[in-house]
Amino acid sequence: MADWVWITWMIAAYLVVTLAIGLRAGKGLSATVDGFVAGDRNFNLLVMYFVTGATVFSAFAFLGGPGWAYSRGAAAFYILSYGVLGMAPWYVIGPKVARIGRRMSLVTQAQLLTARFPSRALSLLIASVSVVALIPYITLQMKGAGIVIEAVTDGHVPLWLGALISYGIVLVYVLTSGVAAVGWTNTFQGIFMIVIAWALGIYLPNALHGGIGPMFSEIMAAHPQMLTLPGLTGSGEPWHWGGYTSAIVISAIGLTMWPHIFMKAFTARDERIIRRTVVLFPTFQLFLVPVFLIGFAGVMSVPELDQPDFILPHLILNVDLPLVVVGLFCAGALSASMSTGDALLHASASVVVEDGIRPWKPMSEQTQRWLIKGSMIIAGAVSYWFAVGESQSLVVLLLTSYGVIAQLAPPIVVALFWRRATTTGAFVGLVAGSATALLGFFYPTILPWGIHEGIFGLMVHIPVLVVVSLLTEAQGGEHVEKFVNPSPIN
Amino acid sequence: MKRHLIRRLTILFFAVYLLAVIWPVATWFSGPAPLVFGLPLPLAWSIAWILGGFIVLIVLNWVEERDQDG
Repeated sequence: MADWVWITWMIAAYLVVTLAIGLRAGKGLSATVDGFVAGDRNFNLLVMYFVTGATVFSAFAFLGGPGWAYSRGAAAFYILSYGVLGMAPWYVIGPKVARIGRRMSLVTQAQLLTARFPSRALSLLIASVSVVALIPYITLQMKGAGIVIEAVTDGHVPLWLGALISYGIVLVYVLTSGVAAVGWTNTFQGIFMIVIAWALGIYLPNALHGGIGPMFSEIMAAHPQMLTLPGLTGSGEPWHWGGYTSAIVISAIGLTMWPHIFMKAFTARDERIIRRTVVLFPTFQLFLVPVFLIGFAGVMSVPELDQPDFILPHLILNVDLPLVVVGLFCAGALSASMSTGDALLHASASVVVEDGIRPWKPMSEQTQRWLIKGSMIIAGAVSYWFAVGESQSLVVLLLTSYGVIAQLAPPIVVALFWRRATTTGAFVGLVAGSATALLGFFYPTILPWGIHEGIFGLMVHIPVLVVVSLLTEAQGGEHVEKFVNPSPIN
Repeated sequence: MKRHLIRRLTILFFAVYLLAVIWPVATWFSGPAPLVFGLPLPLAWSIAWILGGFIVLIVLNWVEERDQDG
């Protein structure tokens, strides 16, 4: 049997196991919106740990991480630096959000914000921002899955088919079991990703350079600039410190503001589980270390690749690895893609219905569930259409969305901690911040020192939010107290 | 240890963590040499802060949970 046939069988086996876990996960859940979107608020520590970790680290980390290390060297370390910084505030914010969510039956980020700042326009604005940010993200995950399958099967399973099959399976299990499927499949996929990343991260430098130390000594002698902060840009020029620094700051601020990550606060069984998840997150963050080692392993042994994101599949296919390792790598990459993609699909559909439609048109629980499922199929189809078509512009869209998603941080923080914040202040601040970030994105020359446009947006957003809030009438004390000082649940 | 003290120390730690990995402090640790456990200095520096963050969060959570139970 040809190699690619063996590999295809291994991929098929992996997909069947994932599907089985996803379908089983929904057993015993209530047939409510709470059940479908928040898993009846019953996730335990194991599931929360892997949901958080595997959702944060996507196909971008698994394929893009080595790609960055390979082509941009030390610039990649920014990805390593922001994760724990971004997650630490969640130790305080996450449990508070969960407590308010349980008390007021909230399942999305916009619901939390509009509970404090009642405004249907604000809800629609957040829903639009979220969907514009989430769709390109889903597309990239699908494309990642398709690329990997196409590469390891020698093109016998083309990108369109690989993406269709893997995401068809994702849709089936998420439609059946809702967020519970995301939870349990992510646990399986998270374990897979970590084990495979560490195995390859140690194996490849050894196979190609005789060890990690010798590998870095060789790179240091030949290309010292690769290992010097702030690393290189995509075109090989030295990167700006301003770019490196603001990438860390904006990513740390934006990390937990992504709807598919934020919404998981509503799924935890209790507040203690959220805190423990934050405590354990650094262990997941270290997953990036072997991922970078894989990329650095290619620096001396692979001449310039046109598309650096292919460095991992390229090394895997050209280093004469045992077949089973190639198959496992493929399963690891699919795990990374699907574990983020399922959460993204689920979150985008929930946001469209809960925040975009329901505030304008009241509906029954059953209708909501059906609408969420319908939106998920539409979101999947739209993303698939982008994934198999031209998508250069999508990478651009994704990069823009980081700057915009970070704009959700100020309203969330003031909703939970500042009594004097008002609805008008939150709305005007969000519009001003997002518009400024977009302006900076399209006219980067107005930004000094390579600063990220999201930072530029926040510099306008925060003063506007504060000043407009102070100029408008304060909210009632009893209302505000429910958010700033929510009473514990017994 | 007192709960308020440990909370303040945690906030202080993460503020220092942020400063340590961005400009200008990170420029002092930007060169590849020396290799630390075989890893270039900036990589080892980032990892050291992640491990530090892990330890601080463990201590914080230990104190918080002990106080809640007690």
